[in-house]
Amino acid sequence: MADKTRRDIIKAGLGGMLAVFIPKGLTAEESPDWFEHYWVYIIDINACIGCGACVRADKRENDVPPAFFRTWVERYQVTEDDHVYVDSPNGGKNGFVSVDNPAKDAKPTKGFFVPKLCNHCRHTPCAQVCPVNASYISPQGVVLVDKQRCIGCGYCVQACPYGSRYIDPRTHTADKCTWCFHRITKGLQPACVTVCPTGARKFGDLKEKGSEIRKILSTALTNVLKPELNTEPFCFYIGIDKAVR
Amino acid sequence: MVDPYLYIKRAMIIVVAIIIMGLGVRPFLIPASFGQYGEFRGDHLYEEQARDPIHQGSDVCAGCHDENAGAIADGGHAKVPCETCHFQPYAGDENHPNAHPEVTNAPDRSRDACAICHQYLFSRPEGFPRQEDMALHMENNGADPTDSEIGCIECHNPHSPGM
Repeated sequence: MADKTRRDIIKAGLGGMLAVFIPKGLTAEESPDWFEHYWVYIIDINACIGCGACVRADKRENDVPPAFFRTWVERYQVTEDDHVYVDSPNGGKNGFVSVDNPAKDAKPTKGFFVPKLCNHCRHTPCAQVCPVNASYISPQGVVLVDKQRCIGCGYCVQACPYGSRYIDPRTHTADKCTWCFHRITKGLQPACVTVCPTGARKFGDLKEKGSEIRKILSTALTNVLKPELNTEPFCFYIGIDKAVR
Repeated sequence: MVDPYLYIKRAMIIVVAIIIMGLGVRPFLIPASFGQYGEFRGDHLYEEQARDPIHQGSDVCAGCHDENAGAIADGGHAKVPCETCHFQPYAGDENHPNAHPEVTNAPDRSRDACAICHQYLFSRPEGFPRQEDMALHMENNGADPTDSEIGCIECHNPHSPGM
């Protein structure tokens, strides 16, 4: 004890007090490689042909129950007097060829397809309202649901302004698009991007200098869905129309 | 004389006991990895990551299947990924990379499978190739559009479409 001065003891005490406030993440051992990404998703409206291959692939990849969708395709048709017809029969899973066209007799003057999915917002209402921290934004910029913690209250389903969440009838927990987290962390693209025949769906890493996704974001005219809500989505749309809601 | 603070003291003892019990139980209710990377259970990231991918991507297909590689590279479907049309995971081989027993769709050879992309729809982008009314196209080429047995693949090679 004699070799410890009062100053040493005060120093050690202060250090110990400060150590309590250091988050565990800063002291944890090195993270795996797949932490070193920050993902972003781009949809090109001018390229989407509404074939629904993405919806079918998503159903296979993620075992989505019938009548629920993690991604879906909407058909928009706008007439000269600004009447908007929107339909998405079975989420566009079987395409739009064999289904009734709601604007059949309306003579639309412009038309396009809008693929939709979770927007993975930075200020996401779903994670804000979750009472048990089951919904969260991962360090890679992906909004995920921890099914083990989720109590199935459905608050996030109501909070999402894009309607991209559902309660899985088998587990009674919330579920949503994860950008195929199990694929992108292994160097693959999400299933919907993998099967898109026209390249309307693009996915990439913001941290990768010179990547295609960065080139598009720096040159193309993009927008997000419902920008007035300030949810700051990380799904960007090229060629989006004002009729899209 | 009775202690005027007796009941307050008893109530305070109960409150303090509840707080101590709460603090004692708290570590067992919060998962160990909670807060590791943020306000969520850190282990969930690894659980979500551990799932096996089902779709493999065209590069994996090309690693074994070179029988149509030439035709695909020259044709109009050069940029179409294999798994857009093919999802035949089993094909009798359980060691096939796509061998997931829950999905066993054979490739669709009917006219509808082509129509899903190539039938004319008003909402499709204008630059997209070979959009037409299929019934009209068949009539013009001497086929009966009411006969659902006639598939597009009788004239067109799906790996390298075009006549």
